[in-house]
Amino acid sequence: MEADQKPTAPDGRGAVSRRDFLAATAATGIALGVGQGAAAAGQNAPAPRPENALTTAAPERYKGTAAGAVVAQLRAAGVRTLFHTNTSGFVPFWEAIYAAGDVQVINMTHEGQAVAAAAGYTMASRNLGFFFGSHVGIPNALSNTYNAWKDRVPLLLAFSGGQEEQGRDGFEWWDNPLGPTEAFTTWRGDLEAEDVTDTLRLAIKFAFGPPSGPVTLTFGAAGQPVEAPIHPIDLATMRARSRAPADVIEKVAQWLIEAEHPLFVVGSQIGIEGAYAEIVALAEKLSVPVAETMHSLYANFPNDHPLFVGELQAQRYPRQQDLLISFGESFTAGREDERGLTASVPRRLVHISHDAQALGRSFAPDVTILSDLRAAIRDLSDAVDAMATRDRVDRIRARRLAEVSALTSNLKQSREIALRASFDSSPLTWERVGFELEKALDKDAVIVPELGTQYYKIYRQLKLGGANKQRIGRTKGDALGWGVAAAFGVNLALPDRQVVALQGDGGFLFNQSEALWSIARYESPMLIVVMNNHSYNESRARNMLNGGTFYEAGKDFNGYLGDPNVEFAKIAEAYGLRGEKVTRAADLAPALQRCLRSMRDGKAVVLDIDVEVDGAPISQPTWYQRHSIAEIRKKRLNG
Amino acid sequence: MVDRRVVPLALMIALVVWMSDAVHTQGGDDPQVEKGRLVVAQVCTTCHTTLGRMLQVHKQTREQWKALVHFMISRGAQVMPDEIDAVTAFLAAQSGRERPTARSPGPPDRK
Repeated sequence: MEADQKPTAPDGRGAVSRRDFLAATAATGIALGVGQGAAAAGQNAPAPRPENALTTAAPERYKGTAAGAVVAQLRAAGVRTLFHTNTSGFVPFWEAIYAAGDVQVINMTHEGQAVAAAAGYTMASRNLGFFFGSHVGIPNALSNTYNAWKDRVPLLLAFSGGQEEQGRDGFEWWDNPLGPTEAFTTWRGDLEAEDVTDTLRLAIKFAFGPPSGPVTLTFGAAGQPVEAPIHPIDLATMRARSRAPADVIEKVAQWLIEAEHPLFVVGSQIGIEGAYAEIVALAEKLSVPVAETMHSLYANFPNDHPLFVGELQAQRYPRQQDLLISFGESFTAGREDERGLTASVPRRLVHISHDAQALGRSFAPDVTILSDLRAAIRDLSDAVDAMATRDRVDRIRARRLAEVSALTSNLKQSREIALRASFDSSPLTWERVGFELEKALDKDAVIVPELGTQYYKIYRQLKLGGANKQRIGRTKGDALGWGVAAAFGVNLALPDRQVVALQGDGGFLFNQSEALWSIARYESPMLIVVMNNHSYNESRARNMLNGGTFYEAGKDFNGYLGDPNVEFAKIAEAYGLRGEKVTRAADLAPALQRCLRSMRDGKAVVLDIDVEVDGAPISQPTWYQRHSIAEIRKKRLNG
Repeated sequence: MVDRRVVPLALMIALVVWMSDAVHTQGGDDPQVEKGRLVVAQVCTTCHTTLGRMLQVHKQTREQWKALVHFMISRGAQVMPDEIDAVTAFLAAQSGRERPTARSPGPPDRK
């Protein structure tokens, strides 16, 4: 069969007419435009249906090439945005994409950046990120595949080639080509012609889990003729659902009613399920303070809410709780999370997760609950209503609200004092940058940060979560080189929203300028803020924390980035984008207005801001270990 | 996996004992320093488990310590408005000499 053969009607009679296609689509229950709808949906997208999807019709049959079957199956699942990095191995797939006519391919200039963009797109849209590229690009793709795995982002990553070169040390080949991805994937498979759509369906199932995450696939030439089923797939219901037994919910509800000092910790699964309104309602019902961990992936709770007490390890109301309930937070950030939990010493610790593999994995809860977060929150709320009188609930709420509000109000005052203490200083404080961003950006802007632990100085000046701005990132994987491309992917999914990448200068230098090519090509009117302290300040501060001989000497071998002094604005201009440079506090607000005008005109901006270094100062902040190849060469040439 | 009930207790005891010695040798009976010591023990030691060592290493002026307290508040430390001066006083009481200030290393000095 020819590679460009058109798909056939379900009954196999030649090319599909629009009428036949519509009829066949309706019969399978596949909604037209699902991809675009899902892509345009924000994080407040409608809740998944309470029951798992059931197939109600026989699968449509596709007749054509294996590559065409892949496109047809992806389209049937509502996937119409594909990410790609240059290679020559996908001619049948391109033919099928061309024939489909409604599939958008986003070209990226590096596999790792493409995976980050696909991840950002998926986190913002809850669609399925699909990347295809050369298997030689697998090593390039690995760091952001790892990040996507840590963030539990459902992705399909399809790489050219099959298994035919096994054992031959062939051209551009190593044995077991998907082997390097094994640690970062929920499943790996081969898209073979004989069962191509069955394998693809399975891959999608594994991508959504739980645990959700990347799936890698080999995807050969795919020009082989096939007749394959096209499975009806509703991505909104692909994740396997779970619900807690009533007796366990009732036990925890009882503890919650009786607790003097309960605390909620909200984690990424709130964001994955979009259960924002539910967790706010439950917290408000009994005025339970809400904390997050240091590596929270989303703004899972409004940070301007009087019940929001900040990071778990820092929280002080009170230092020790009698009940801590984790809503989808797995405490996998290591030392920081461990400190938070050990400092809290809750008498009872409850872990609720929709991922069985996460339950009790990194800490020892007293009770584990396998359940969708939305369902568990609603069940707990209902159980509280059933077990306590309205009067009792009201009394608990009123008493605790006064205490927690007093604390959060005081903390707000302290932050205001800290903000104003160096408000006009230059280089700018991080707080000032956050303050000006909050003033300038839309209320529903989306922030995609990739910053070190200084991020909190910006976050607490921004109103995030709930009806406020949304935050996606920093990736829990922390492998630098993610943020700009991920923000671009978010903007693809949310074209009507302001999208802002928050980068450090050090992070931007981790292969991120390549993403500017795609940002320019696809006219993504986003803002990329480079917090430029001319340093890897996170590692510098940590390395210097406890002193030592190189601290005493003021010699930081790694941290200083100011020589060469990178002109990030000029990098933007090299890609045809706008660049802005701010060195004085008073210049930031007008510069932001110029950025917003450029964004309204459809052009992205890189805004390079000179910001302070924090942490303990060192005596020689610009020192680095000099080495000049040119001087060596000169000496040799000059005898 | 750590025993979450034992480790923090041991750490807190060690830090409070150390800080108790520190305040008596360097802070005298200044009630502001004493208040600061208690706040530091409650607020800072969760994250900064090597606080004693850090205070020995990073000797700074009172002004520098105050800037650092502001900085830590912005990073999430839950120091209340009426505790800022006390925490600063305690930290300054541990200091004897000034360290260089560098708000930003900026571009290289050489032309």
